Amino acid sequence: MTESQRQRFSAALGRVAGDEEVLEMLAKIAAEDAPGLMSQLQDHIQQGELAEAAKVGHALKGLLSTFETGEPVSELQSLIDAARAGDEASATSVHASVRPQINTLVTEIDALAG
Amino acid sequence: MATGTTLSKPQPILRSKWSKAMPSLLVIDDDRAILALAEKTLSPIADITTCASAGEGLAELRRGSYDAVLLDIQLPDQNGLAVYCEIREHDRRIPVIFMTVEAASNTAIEAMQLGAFDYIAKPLHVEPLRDLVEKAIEQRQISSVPVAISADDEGGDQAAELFIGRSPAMLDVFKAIGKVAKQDVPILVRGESGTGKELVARALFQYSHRSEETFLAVNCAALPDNLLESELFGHEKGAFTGAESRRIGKFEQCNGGTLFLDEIGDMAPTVQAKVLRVLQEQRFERVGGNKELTTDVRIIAATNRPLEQMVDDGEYREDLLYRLNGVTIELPPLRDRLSDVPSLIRFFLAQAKKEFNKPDLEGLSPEAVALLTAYDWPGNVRQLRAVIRRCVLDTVMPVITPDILPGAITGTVSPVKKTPTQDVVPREEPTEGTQLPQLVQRLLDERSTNIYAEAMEYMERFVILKVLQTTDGNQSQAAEMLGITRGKLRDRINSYNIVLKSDVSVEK
Repeated sequence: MTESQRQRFSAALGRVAGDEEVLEMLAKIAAEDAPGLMSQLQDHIQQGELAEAAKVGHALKGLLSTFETGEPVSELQSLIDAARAGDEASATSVHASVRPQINTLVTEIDALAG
Repeated sequence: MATGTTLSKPQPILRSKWSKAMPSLLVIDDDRAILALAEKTLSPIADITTCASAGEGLAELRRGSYDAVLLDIQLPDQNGLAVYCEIREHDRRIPVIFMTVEAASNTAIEAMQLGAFDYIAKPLHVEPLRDLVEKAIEQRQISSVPVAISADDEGGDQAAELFIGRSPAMLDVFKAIGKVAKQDVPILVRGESGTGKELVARALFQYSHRSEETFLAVNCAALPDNLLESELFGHEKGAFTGAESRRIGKFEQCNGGTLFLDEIGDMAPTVQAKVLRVLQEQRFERVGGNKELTTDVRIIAATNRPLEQMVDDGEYREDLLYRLNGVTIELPPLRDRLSDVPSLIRFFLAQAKKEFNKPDLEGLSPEAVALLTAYDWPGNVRQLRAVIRRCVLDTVMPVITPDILPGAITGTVSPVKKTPTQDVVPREEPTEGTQLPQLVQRLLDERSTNIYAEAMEYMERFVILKVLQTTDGNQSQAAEMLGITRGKLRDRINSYNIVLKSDVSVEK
């Protein structure tokens, strides 16, 4: 883990009691699972399957919150809420805005996994 | 990662702090990262088995023997709450900790209401997670001991609690009630606060010839003197400002019945004189009225104040004391009949179990019973009842263990000092009166069951001290300003150790 990664993920490192090996192990799992969840999320939103979108959004939020609790992960809650409320327009809009940032985060996590 | 399997590497039987083979923890979550994190960080304290779905988790639970479950609240194949209910059906002693991304969600609240051990927010923090799992395992092991007192005994009606106990002191009380209930004489019931004086009054009423008639209770300390007089004797229209219509008092309303006068020591001399006349002649007038009324009321009075001393001090009418004191029933403090505590616990436990709808509650552990029977109960039976009710409300496990008990009982917090005439000695200096929020918070932290009384006492001490300081210690003037009798003020001055020097202060 590089010094900049330690700084970038300092909060996450704190949550695992400073155990870099554990964080790297979690990063490997997240890097493997996140792309699939993102793809499912996009499909569900495009097909208007909002209940399913909310479930996948929830799973993605849980997976990524290990590394980041602020934006863009916190924005996933707006997407989940909109999907649960059946508000397709809002869910689509939030998804479009948050997706690039989530991609960036997953890339960072992937790098952490080494 | 394999699911439904024990992930710890094969090794010699590990010994944990539990002084038995490693406890076992089942983790159910569809997030692989959570399963891996739990396996990696919790394996030093438990054997970890992980499952990625509700179906797998429930199947594994039925196969194995687990000390605790860590359960995701949102699973792909079944809602976590439904899974929880199935876990409870299988073994209601297993502590279940929910994990949720949305910590403030209604589901989490609902989980706690259903009896979950606790919930923890994601992202998981390793150290609090480990502490919580340890606590759950500990709870599981403690609550697996056989109960010393069962919560399934029949609980009778509220008045029945008076007749619980076989201590010699209480047997004397029962005998006295039996002897005098049917005699139409005034009775004085004496005893510390919380000993059940009103219950004695009700028992006397129920076993009397007047049991089909009215029973009314008046707390003489709860009303200012002028209002007490009006409450007892009624008033005519225009008798005083605000008396817009005639009012019938309790003596008139209760004609033929029984009137219970609680805190009889807190009466102004004018009211004492009128009560004496009713006792002697059964006659009185409404406030502001000239018409003499007659009534046939049996009076049962109660007090925890030293009336004889008050007579000596000129604060209480001697003739009234003798009239009231014809028959006296003395209720013992609970500390003098600790052998009755287990029976009382059983009674209150059964009552609370039913009232709070806790069908899974089995009872109290032997350690909890031992602590409760060793405590000196300054607040008497009322305090015991409050503690048991609070425990029943707080516990999420079938067995109430010492960790649920208030700190004053387990010895982790200094007990509040008591004397017969002094309910509570506040620990903070109240002269500034600014410590109320801290006091209430401390009492909440201590799981006190006497918060109202302690907070009111703090407030009362502050108000009395402030007024006395304003009057330079002049008690008559202070009593006037406070709207209480001089006797009551003197009683409070003694209770609160207020020293009347040139600067009114509190003795430490």
